[in-house]
Amino acid sequence: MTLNFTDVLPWAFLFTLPGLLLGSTGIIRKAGVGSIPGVLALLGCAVAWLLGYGQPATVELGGWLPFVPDGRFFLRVDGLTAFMLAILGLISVCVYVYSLGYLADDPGIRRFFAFLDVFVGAMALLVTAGNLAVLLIGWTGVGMTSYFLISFWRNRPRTLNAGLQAIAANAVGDGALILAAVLVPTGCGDLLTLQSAACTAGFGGVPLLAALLIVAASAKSAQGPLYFWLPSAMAGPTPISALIHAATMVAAGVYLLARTHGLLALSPDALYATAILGVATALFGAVMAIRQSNLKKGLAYSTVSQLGYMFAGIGFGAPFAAIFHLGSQAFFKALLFLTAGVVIHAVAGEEELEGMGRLARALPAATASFLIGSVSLFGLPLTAGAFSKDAILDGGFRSANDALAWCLVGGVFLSGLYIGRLFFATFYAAPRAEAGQTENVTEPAHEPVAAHEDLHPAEKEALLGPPGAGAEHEPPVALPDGRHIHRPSGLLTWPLLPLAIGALLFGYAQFPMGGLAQVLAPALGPAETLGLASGPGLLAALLGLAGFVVAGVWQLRRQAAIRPLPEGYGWVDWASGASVRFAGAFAGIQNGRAGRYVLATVLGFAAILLAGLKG
Amino acid sequence: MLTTLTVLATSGILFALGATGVMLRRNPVAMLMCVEIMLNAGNLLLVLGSRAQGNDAGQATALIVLVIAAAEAVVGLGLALVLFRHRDPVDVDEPRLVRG
Amino acid sequence: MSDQLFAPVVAACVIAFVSALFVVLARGAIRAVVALLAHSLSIAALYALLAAGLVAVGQLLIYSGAIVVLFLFVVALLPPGGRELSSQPLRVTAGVLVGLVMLAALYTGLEPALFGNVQLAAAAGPIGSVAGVGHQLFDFDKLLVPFELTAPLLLVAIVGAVALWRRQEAPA
Repeated sequence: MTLNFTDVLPWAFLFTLPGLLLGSTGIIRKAGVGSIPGVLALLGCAVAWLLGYGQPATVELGGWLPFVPDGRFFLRVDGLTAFMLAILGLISVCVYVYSLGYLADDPGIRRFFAFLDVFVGAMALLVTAGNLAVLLIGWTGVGMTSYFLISFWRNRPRTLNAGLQAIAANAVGDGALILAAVLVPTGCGDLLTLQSAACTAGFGGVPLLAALLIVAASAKSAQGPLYFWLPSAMAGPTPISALIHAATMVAAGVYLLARTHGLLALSPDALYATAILGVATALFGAVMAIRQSNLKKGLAYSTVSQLGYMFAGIGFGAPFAAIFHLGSQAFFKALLFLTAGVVIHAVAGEEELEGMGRLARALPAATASFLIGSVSLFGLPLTAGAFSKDAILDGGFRSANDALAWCLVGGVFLSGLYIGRLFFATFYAAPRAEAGQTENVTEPAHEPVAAHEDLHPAEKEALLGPPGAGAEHEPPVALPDGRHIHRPSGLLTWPLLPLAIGALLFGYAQFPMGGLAQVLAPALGPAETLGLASGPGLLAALLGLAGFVVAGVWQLRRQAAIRPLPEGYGWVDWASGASVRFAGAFAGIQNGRAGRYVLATVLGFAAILLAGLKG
Repeated sequence: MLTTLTVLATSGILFALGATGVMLRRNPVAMLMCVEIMLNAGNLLLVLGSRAQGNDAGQATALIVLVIAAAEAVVGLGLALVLFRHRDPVDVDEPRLVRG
Repeated sequence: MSDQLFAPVVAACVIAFVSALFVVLARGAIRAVVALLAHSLSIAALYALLAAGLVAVGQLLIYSGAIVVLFLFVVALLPPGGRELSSQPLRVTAGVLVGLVMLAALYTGLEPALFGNVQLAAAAGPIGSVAGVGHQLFDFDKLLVPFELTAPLLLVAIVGAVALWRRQEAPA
């Protein structure tokens, strides 16, 4: 019996349904085990399709939503979809197995896997959607499950707050997407034909439609002013941070823009705006990541920064580069997060860098994984991250956005810096107790409060229970310096292996015959760039390595886990002080005197009216 | 024609009168009442326009504006009550933090 | 048509203007509320005269019947009807200035209509009928979306008002 992958893959969003039913009703005694075949099937079918066993296909059921311009239930599978499904499947499998170990002792584990199943289904629906209406369902679905999973631990402080922040940002994006879905002329909604003349003739035309899509994508991918929810989302369990907030959901924004790149290409202003947004966020995220004292939050800002690179790729008119980087980032960021989870689990729930240090000898597998993830992140030559980052830079130079591309090159140095700091502080530098120094990291006033309060270890124990050690309950291992480490179980370490392999080797997917570029060409257009062929790319790789080494020296020389920023960073403080003073100058407008407000309103209104009529 | 002129003028004068009232009064509830006068003036203009064009759209819009006026009155009066709870009489010119 | 309705229209306009004047100048909040009631009733009469029957009834029910009554309740709840600080000369000047500026701005805006010989359309026909206004509100390409959006608006207003008061009772 031959499996017809062509017909099966459009229904990928239903693959996790059996697992959901079996798991939530309790038919399968051990929570989560029933869900694994679903994601394995997803991975298998997607990979089979990519290897050539499947053809592009569509599923169409008409008349489903009569009050939107295009209300068909329309699914489409092509190369891009299959690629996204493969990424989703692979990361999901790793995360599912990992979660079996990480949450083994958690009483809510059944609920957790139920939410995970719904998430994977919604994400699959999102990438198989053929028109805006179905995309919206997947879009809001992943948003809701993200909220449920962020605020999964209800007895911890601030998780609900973090979840609500995610909903707030999502609301903006959902609103923009809904507007886009209803503003197009009748019959338009198919994602691939949005750029046609008929579909851009609606209200606002191309600029409005492009702007709405960019806003929606920014909300989902934490770009620009809508970044705030992602660092707070670290309040959720680490497997969620790896799956949703590193590899898949936050990539949905990039996917949307890549899918509709034809529409964006019609408006050079939109492309330029996206490029600026991406570069600005990339640099901003990198700078913020350097100053983080919490391991997961540092990785969260790193995700914001990397997504900025992808947006920049879209803005350069190189959607293939952006999707390529999406794949690389999925691998190395999920790897970094899962490794972070191993480390956090080892030090009994401590997430602050102050509580870590000198873990290399005790956790060799984690050290190796984090190192692999780090080098792929800053783009050591020949790793996946290097190829994809170079593809983006190449796209920038080819589209005459030299200034922005050079900004990104500089940003790679910052990437090496922050990931090096995280790596060396966690694994090689001395722990806080020994150094007796703490970093006074002042977060900017507008940033949301940290996702985890500083709890006394005993209180943590009481709140969380003893950290789950997987199937085997091993007693903590004592380190020479007196700390206790919980060794990770096999369930926590084996999923790291495929991710590490991917982080190193994914870049070569573009080379073989029928490689990635060819698979994605029907959806994304011809890929002009293949990685690591250009000077700036090599320079970027070297800068990343330099940043990594500098961070290492910085962490190790001071013999302290965390230190205030070195003197050379005084300009950061000066810049922030200057901007606070500048903003303060305008604060006088908000003086609370209602009479003045009324006067100003009326005079302003009159002025506008007069200017509009006379001018 | 004269009718139109009269109603138009009334609408404009009422709007300006309402604006004056908002500026003049220091009682939050009275300020809100003057805002309601402005809303009524706007609605009047909408209805007049609908009548002049022979179109129902203005009247439908006027109905929706009525609902908006209701919502705004609710929130505004809630705020006014909160202000009065703290201090009576209320000085709307005094910058203050309404806690919560 | 115009001549028949001219007298009632002028009468309603005058009542509206006078009652609005009372609202602005009245000393106590209670008097202002009663004046507001008169004002809204006169506006409803104007709507009816302008062949906007549904809106006139809406004005009576929603505005006079609910909003003004709400104002009345609030004013009654305030300790001595909500005392007001006395007016300052600066404020009076500012108020007059605001009124004049607003008049000037509106005059510039309404000038084409004032002197452009706008004729009222024929009074008969579907203007102002329930079906007519209903079609405007409920057709897809007309005002359906704003109409539906008023529902969450009202919900937000209610929740907001309750939240405002509850925040006072339960210190955060």
